[in-house]
Amino acid sequence: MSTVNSTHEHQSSGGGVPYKKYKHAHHWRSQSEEFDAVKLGFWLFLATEVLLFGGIFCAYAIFRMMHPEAWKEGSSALDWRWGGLNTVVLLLSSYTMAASIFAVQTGQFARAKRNLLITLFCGCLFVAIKMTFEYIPKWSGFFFILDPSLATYKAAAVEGKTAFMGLFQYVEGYGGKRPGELFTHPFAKDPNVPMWWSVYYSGTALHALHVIIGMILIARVYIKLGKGHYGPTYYSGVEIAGLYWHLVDLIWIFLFPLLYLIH
Amino acid sequence: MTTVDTSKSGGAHGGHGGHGHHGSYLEPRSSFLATIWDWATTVDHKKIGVMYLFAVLFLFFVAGVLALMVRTELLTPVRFVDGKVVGQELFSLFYPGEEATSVNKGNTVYNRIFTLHGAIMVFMVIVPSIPSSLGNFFLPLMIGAKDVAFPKLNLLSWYIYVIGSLFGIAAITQGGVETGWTFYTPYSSNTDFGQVTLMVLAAFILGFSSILTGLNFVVTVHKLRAPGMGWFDMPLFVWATYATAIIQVLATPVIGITLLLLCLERVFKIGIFDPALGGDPVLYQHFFWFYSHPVVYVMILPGMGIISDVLAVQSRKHIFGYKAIAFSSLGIAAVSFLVWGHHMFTSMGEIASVVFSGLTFLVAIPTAVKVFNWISTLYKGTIALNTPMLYVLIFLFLFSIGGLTGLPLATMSTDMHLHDTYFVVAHFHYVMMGGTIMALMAGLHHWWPKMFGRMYNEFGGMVGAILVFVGFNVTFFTQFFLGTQGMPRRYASYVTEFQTLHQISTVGSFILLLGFLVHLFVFIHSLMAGAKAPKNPWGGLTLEWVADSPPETHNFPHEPLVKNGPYDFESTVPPHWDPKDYPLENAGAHKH
Amino acid sequence: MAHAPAKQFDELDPHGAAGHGQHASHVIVGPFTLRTVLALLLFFTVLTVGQAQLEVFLSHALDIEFPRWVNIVFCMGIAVVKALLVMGYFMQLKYDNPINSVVMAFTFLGLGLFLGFTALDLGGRGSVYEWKVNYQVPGGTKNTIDNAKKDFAKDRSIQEVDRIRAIIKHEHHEDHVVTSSPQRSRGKTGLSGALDAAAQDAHSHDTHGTPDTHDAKPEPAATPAAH
Repeated sequence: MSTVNSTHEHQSSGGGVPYKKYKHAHHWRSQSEEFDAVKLGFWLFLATEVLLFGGIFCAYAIFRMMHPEAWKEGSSALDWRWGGLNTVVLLLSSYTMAASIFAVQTGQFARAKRNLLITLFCGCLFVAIKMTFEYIPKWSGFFFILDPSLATYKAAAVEGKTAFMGLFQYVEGYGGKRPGELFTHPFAKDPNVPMWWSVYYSGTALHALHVIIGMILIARVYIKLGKGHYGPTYYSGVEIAGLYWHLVDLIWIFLFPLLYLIH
Repeated sequence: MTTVDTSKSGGAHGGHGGHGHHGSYLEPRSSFLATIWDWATTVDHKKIGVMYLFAVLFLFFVAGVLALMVRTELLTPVRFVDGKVVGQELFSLFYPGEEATSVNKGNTVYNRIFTLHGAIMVFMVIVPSIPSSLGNFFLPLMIGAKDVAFPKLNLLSWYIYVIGSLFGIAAITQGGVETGWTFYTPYSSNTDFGQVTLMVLAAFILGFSSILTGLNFVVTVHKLRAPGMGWFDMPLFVWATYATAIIQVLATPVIGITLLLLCLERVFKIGIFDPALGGDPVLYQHFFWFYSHPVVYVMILPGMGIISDVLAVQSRKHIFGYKAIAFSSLGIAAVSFLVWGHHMFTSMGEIASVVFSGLTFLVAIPTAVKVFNWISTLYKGTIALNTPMLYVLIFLFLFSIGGLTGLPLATMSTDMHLHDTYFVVAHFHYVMMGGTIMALMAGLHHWWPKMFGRMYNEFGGMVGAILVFVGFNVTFFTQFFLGTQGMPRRYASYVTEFQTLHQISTVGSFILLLGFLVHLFVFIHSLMAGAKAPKNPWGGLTLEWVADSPPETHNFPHEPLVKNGPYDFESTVPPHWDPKDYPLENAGAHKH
Repeated sequence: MAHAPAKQFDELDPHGAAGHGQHASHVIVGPFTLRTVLALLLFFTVLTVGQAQLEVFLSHALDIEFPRWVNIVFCMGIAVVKALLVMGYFMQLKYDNPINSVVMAFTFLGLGLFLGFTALDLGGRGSVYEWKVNYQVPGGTKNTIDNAKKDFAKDRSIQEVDRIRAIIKHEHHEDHVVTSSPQRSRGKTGLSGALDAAAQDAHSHDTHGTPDTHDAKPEPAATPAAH
């Protein structure tokens, strides 16, 4: 029988652990061959993701070549401390992801779940930091009231102009750093700076989208782990989610210096 | 004595063996609805291949009708006579009863028709044509596997293709696109017309289908070959499909990001391709052609694989230079990534143009290796002049012309005159249609008995082939002359001097239509009332001929063991053939 | 000659039913390795941030300017090292079937080709003709067709041809000199025709001798009669 449901046979004989009874798909000779093939297939998929971001990197490189002054100005508007914090968050999450794979391989399920949760939390933290401390201030000029850099803009802070139940404080003349035609920041020195912001937003937004996809994959793994689908003899799903998450980290490893550190 | 061991090997079955004989994969289920559900949820590569085949052939006809509309419009140039526009045939088709006072509406219709013809043909027909239909069907069979590496992913690929095509059809019905299938900026990013975003999204989705199919095939070839089949025991169709799959995986994501950026440009005006905001429209062209050049090799490589196999079988001769052809497939795949700038000579700087021009000449070399090897294979072969073989010969003739006419386009000095003329149009139709479609027809006829268990009418096939050949040459050879004389492409009208050639070309296109209609009739007749096909009508030696016609659900009753090469005609009796009908002593004429 | 296929199967157990086939690498990367790699990654992050900030500090406080490439090479180099660490140990490429590493290697190669050739074109525009360098100025350069004509006329190859024409006229006493010229075979209509004519005019007025009337007049080409 070769329908969608027939490759994964679970024996529901009274509370058996699914991973122990995992049967590989019928067209493979053994489970180890299937695992090898799944890994190769996923590496090919990761290759496509790398090439997808390659377009963004190419646009970055070409426009940096054409508008070096705009790039200098644009990257100086980015705070390396938030970028650095995000880098550390992602590296830690990469570690916990690899650690959770180790835990599943050695049958330590509680530890595995804990590490997966930390990874998920780090992912959420990444997106939250990006949105709160980077996107929202730059786009609109509204700083989070607990933002440390708000202190440097105290003079330009417009008293009383707050948003979102007083959680965000408006700072005059900071916002408007938007891509392309939407650019409204009044103090831009180089006329090509909107291009910088286009590349910045498209690169980091695409990356954030992949972070969210990665988190969905990890959440799925977490739930299935809880139901006992993965264990020392079968953990392909965890491995796959791990590879995707590491790719997300890998892309950020390149995005961070390009956007924040190269001036 | 068969040399492929399909008998049960002494007691060792493993956990998966001993399936015995099931019914053929085409057997219907208990009720009509159950059969529909079976096909809708199947992970069987054969059923998925057949579904792709029908979709591709259907869309080929749709895009072909659009092409006929283009040719009809070009029967007469557009002129103003007494304040009224004459010569816009499409206008009277789309706005019946209206009087045209300006050429704009008619030109818009023309632009949309040729754009849709191109977009449907490129993204929905030719790219998936051979890999997703014949490739899906025969790749596992040829390597002795039960299915592709990831059958569920294969089904997902199919549904992504369906969704992408529906997006494309939605774009068409909502007004269509005028930009040409290449969606060049700034026309595609700045103007407020049509459904560019929808169409671009359709292409984006179809790209995913292509990527997943390619991914599947690469892993299948690496991991699922039968015991005894090393890399150099694989049929050349598998080599070609493997090289194609590599290109699909590496090149398609770049069109993904390109189309994504184009959508962002249209919707949010981020300015990456807009010079007024600091961007560069030529950057779009670089992004676009980095994919679109390798994709033309995705289109032709599987066709070349078909030709290698069909030619060897139908001339009952060992393929000349197996390793050369195998490596040339990989070579073409590799060099294809280095030459995209030759679509942009008129928009690039001189240094880059020179580099790309030189590299483009390089890609002709592995291609020529293949053509010479094929011709050498034919020499002193026992040629069976049936429809597949006829299409192979047609391919050799038409593809050679197409390939050779690529050289004036690769040479910068001549390209300056020929760029964006009908010479380019003729060139790519010769390679894409004279190449890929003819190879598809050859493969379809060659493997039709295996896929559907029925023979097609040979006389009908030959008539269709000859009509297609004549019609094709009348249509497109004249376009070379149009091009060298300066007729630009994508123009709805032209100087009066070009009218004769255009009319000849249009007549040819209708002969083409007739040829394909003959084929359609032959295929439908075959499915309904064709003779039952034997398991190995042509005497092929590759593993797909071991399976039943049509194959059973799991392809083979037991995992085959490979003991002979795929083209050892002089030393192997074909599977299912009686050795009395194939005396090997006579086959020793071409020893080497 | 019969082709004997590679002996890829065990004659006694051809279908691999006894389970002695290829094995996947069930390598378990231990916590010590993982923690070491994490420590290294964090160290390199600190290093790369430190280098960038040091450069900024030095250029502001002490006015020491490093050449631009130092920053790029350092940052990208460290990024590559970090990437290799993540790919090798976290993604277990080091322990895997080498085919996976080959896939990634080809991917990066393809990316490099893409970047390299595109930069070759978009960065190398001015190598032969200076006036072909990108003039993308937001809002336009307010350049008019006359300026474009003047730029075109400054084209070295036109100057060279005119110089030779002048020599031929003076030395061989020919009034009407016909030289081959790359501009000759281009279409004489539209922008290139007008530019060509303008350039000829400009030069024939600058140089001594009578203007070449044959070359200055653009030939009327057949225009499409559409609207």
